[in-house]
Amino acid sequence: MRTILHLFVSLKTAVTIICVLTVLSMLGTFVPQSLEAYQYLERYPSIGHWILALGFDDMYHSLAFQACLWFLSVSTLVCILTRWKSTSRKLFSRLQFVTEKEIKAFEMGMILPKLLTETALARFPQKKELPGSVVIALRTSGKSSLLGGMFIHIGFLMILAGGLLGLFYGVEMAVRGRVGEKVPVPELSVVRAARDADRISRTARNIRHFSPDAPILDKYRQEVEALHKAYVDGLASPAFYVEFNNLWVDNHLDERGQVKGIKSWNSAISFVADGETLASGVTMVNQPVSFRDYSFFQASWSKSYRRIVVRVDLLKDNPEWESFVAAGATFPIIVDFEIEKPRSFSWTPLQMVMQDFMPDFRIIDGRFISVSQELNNPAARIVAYDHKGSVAGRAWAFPDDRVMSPSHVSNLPFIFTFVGAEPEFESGLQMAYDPGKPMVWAGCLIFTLGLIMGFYIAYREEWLMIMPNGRILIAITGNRPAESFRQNLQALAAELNEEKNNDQETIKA
Amino acid sequence: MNETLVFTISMVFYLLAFVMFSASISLDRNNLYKIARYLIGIGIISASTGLGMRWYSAGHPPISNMYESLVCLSTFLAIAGFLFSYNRPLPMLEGGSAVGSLLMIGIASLFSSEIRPLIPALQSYWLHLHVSLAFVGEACFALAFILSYMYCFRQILVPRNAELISFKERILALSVVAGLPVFFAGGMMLLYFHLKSHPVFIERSSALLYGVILPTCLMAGILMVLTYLFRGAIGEKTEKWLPSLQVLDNLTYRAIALGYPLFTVGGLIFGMVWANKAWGRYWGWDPKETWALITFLVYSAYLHVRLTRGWNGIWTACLSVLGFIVTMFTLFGVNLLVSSLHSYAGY
Repeated sequence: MRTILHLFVSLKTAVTIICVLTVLSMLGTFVPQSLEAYQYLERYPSIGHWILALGFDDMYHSLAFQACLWFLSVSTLVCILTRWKSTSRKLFSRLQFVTEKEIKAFEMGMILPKLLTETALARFPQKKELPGSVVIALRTSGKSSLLGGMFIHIGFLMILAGGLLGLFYGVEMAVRGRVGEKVPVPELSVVRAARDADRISRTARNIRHFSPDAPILDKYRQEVEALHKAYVDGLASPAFYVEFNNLWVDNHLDERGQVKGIKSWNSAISFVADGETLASGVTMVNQPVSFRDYSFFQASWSKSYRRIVVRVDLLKDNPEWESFVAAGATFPIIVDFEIEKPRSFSWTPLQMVMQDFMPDFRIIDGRFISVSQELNNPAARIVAYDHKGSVAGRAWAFPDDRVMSPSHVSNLPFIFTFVGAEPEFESGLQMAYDPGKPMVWAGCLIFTLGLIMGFYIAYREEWLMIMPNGRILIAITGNRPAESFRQNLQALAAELNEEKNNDQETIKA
Repeated sequence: MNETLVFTISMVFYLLAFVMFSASISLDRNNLYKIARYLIGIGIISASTGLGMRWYSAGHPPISNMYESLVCLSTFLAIAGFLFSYNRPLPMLEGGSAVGSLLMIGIASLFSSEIRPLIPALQSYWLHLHVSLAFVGEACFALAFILSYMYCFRQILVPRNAELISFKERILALSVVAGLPVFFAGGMMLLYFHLKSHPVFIERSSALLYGVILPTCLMAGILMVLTYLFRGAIGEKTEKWLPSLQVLDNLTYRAIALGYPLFTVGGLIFGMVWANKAWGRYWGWDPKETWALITFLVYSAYLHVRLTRGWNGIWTACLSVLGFIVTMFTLFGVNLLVSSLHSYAGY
């Protein structure tokens, strides 16, 4: 037991654990985290199985990392308890336990050449007479510094404890919505069920990769099924809904009113239950909104275009045009589409679908992609179906200023020209509940206080020892390198000498 | 006047200050030391003026991208070096901080100096507190690094027959003294190749090679050769311009003890508070967060090792050097090499 205690108290143990934690943390940033098992085996054929076996695919929840944290926590706790005795002695009964030998051994000390008077001795609030008629006196400053280390270690433990609470009982969930949408938010227990199901599924997938017939997989499957059912049931009767009332973007503008960049993404949301609005607010980055157990943070933002307006012109070069155009139709016609939503028109028997819309399209490596969500170079792809549901033709719609051969952009007797698109925002909110946060913040506060007390306040002991032969020893020590007290020692000597001179002058007078 | 010009002026003063500090050491002239102090003071004033001008024109503190971060850190380092040696002349430390500041502005010139409005994530008063406090802490770590380098340098100058220093310690000191310039050159070459592969930085990567890497390597090489050639003379006058091992060790501790709380509170705790406000969680094991934690752990190890009997001296000096390398990786390496939530600060 004593050996174990020594192991935990030892500074060398603490340094070793800190070093191991450092190395593991570094590895965690170089090994990609939370990929699927097959991805590790593909990317790292020689060490992939080691990464999975050691749990380094989820480094900060791995057994090795958690064990180090636990070990460090226990070591810190033992250190606090064992150090309290010596700290409390220094704080409350320093004079009681000091010895003559100890004072003489202080690195920063000197013998005063002249005798000291009683008035100088009175400057020291604590005095004591040792055996052999030795008188010692003590003056201290910066006692709070002694508690700095304690506070740092207690704060550290509280932060870890808060983190642990968050790990077990906290949840995070993404909520996404467009204007007018109501997104259900389930009860905490339901979100936890989903979180646990994800964790177990991941573990099961990793195990299955190495041994597909492992008996534990059945147990995991049952657990996941039960949790999934709880989640589905919970989602059917949510605690409340988040309603997205308005989404808008504020921009930085230059002197000419041109947009320089995005200033803020804003989501006006309401919390609705049983058809009644219970609360509402505006979230933006760095400005969360809280409701019941959850806090909502502006986490992501996307812009899409659901309604696209195009102009349709008739191409009479196409020999089959008469079979595609309804009698009496006049062109050009302005029509609007919603992405992937089939539309029928009075001017054609064909049914048309806008399959794809790219606001800033480019051809890169033979692929059509949009490089941004801004309307810099829009392109829309339209597919027409006949009454049997077969594809009758395809066409691209570009803005007016793109000069292209009609046969290149359409094999229908129509030319589609892009007129405009209404942007539609989708807001992504991070919904979080973490019961450990208050403890973490309290820990941070104590930790910070400890840092200030321990590093910026110096503890100093000024000792005075009067020997039976009348010789005077003064010494200074504290929790700083001895060299840093040299000036203080000179100052103390000067203070006492001045006192003596004053006394002599008083006697002469 | 453009603030880039002001920073160039401060670079010139840092360079002149370094030359004067070197001259004051080699010629043993106190008046040259005083001139060097004035020169570095002017450099600090001009860099601070440049930062103020940039703050005024951008409307936010100049700590929002790589260019601003490097210039700001360079100024903090120069100020820290100036104040740290206010009561006690330490020409090697001050010369080192002048070179460090000079290099940082040189590297900063590779990145875009264009003033851009703050992105939504950075629009918070926590930006001021989190980044500036962490930078002050890092400037103190840089001082500790220079002092530790001086410690190692001092140790290899101790006569071989001195019993106090073991062979292992001497080898360790030698590898730090000779290895760090090589490590720096290697790191800079990696940055050069990284920037070269980035379409925006192809032209600027040549500036890094010819403006920073080659002159620095040349200078370091010349200094090393001169040190070796005149080792006898240097050894004789060591006591005059290089404090004792004990004093250097204490000064290193002081620099770390000053920077550690600032970095921990500014970089980690304020970072946690801000992350909680912006992302809904105070800790997410993002690479930048993790490397800030690693920096904290390395300096925590330093402080614990220093209390452990028999482990201080060269070992703590090496830990201090390692701590600064980790700090630099946290500050720049993560932004450039690892994808993270802090990537907006990358270029």
